[in-house]
Amino acid sequence: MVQALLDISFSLRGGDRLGLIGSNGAGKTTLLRTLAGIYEPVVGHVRVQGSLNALLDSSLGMNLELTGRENIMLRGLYNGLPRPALERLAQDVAEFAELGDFLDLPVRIYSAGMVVRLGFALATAMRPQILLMDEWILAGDAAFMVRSADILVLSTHDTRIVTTWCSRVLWLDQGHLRLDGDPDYVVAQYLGGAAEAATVTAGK
Amino acid sequence: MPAARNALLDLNADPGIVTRNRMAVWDVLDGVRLLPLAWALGWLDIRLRYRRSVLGPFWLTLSTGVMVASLGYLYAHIFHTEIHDYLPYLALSLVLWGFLGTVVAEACTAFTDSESVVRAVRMPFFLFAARVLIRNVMVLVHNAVVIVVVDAVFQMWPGWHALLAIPGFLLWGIDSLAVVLLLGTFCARFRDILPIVSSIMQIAFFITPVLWQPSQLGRNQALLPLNPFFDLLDIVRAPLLGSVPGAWLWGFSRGVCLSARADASLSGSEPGGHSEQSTHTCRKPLGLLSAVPRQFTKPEKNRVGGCVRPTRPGSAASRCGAGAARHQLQLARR
Repeated sequence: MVQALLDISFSLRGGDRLGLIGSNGAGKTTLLRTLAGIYEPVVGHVRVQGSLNALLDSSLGMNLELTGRENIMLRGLYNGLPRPALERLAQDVAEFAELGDFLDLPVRIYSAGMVVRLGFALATAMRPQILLMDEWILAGDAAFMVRSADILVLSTHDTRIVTTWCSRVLWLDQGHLRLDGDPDYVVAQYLGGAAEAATVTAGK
Repeated sequence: MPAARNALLDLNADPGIVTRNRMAVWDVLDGVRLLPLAWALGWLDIRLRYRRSVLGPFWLTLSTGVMVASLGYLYAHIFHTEIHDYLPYLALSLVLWGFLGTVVAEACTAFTDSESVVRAVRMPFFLFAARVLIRNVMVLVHNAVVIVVVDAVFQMWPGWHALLAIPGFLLWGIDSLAVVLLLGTFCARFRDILPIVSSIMQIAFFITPVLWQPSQLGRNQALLPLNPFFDLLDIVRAPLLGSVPGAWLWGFSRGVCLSARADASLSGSEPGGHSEQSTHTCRKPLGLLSAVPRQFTKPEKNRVGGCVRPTRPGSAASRCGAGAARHQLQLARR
């Protein structure tokens, strides 16, 4: 039996920037998926108000066999955009990603850099009120996205990202909430705990 | 860029039966709103399957045509039937059965094939069912060319009775969506269902008059309606063969009864309930949207709250099919 998350309660308001830290398997991505409504709670309650976008999929949700334009259209359709908005979306993304004539060629033949640019342009084209992000997206220049969302929930291993971007941090440990509070404090405890664990291991 | 699909998400661990049914209805309605997406996905499925080939989707037409021609000549000989009677019958039967069989087979993988989407973004499950249906309707349209060609060659025209196939087709559409939602959910949770379904469908292919004609049974023909696949097939096939409406009406009503009954009994919980409802008890609560005070839609009032304690995946499975599908996917990843 898998207990992914247990006894985690919190609420966020407009302007909040929540960081999730913890080791692999701590439940960070599971919590993001739960907030996105992808996993439904077996016990407890999840309530989210406002438009939401979850950037969880590191493959950027692209189909390599389709052309850049088709990928953009599909992304728009997934977000329920009407036809005219789709055209505009295609233009925006194409300009942003600087794809030129490659837009009508399969993504399969794109260079690695072009794939990243297209994926990033797609991810940032939707401006939701609530943004859920796994850390991969911050590899790019995502600062403006982070600012444009009312509520941000960000999962990461990187404590520097948390202290830079977040106003509150949850430290998850094996599905439990270990610590909840100010980024500097939680990060210090998190790093301290890690150092302690390392010492204990070394001592043995 | 607006992306206001989910204005409110409100998930409780154990919603009552009323909430579940409302969520199921909203899942279907939300899926209907996303029909342009289902259409695009279904069409892309076909296009990607035949990408960079010269004939494209018309490979479907060609391969069906070759199969009908070769089987037709062989079995007309084996059955001692006149080819100009048998070939139009076979072309129609094979193409129609092809639709039914493929829908059932693809129903089993409807959700698991879309795992990456299911796990990346909250989408109505109805979307994936609509995708399977649209994809197979497109295949059917391509294959229908074979029927038309064969009928033209043998100068077989069903007459005005053929129009009576239209309500049959509509029923097929509803049944297909129901069967995809039902089998898709069960197959995502229990991976043994897929081989069971495929062997049942293979047996059904041979015991249903597809290759052979009902008249070949002689007096035992009367027993044929006991085979539900025969009823289902004949509500569309009989009018296209030019049968009398009386027989057709009988088959139609029987088909409705059987399929509705199958839906109700298979989906279990509620007598008379549609399978869409029963299999999708854990879905979108957009019904609550109207109850949200307007100020909540302003950005300042946005909130995220969570209080989550998932315990045992097994209990999720018993709670609802849709949740079970999600949990299965979740477990598969671990």
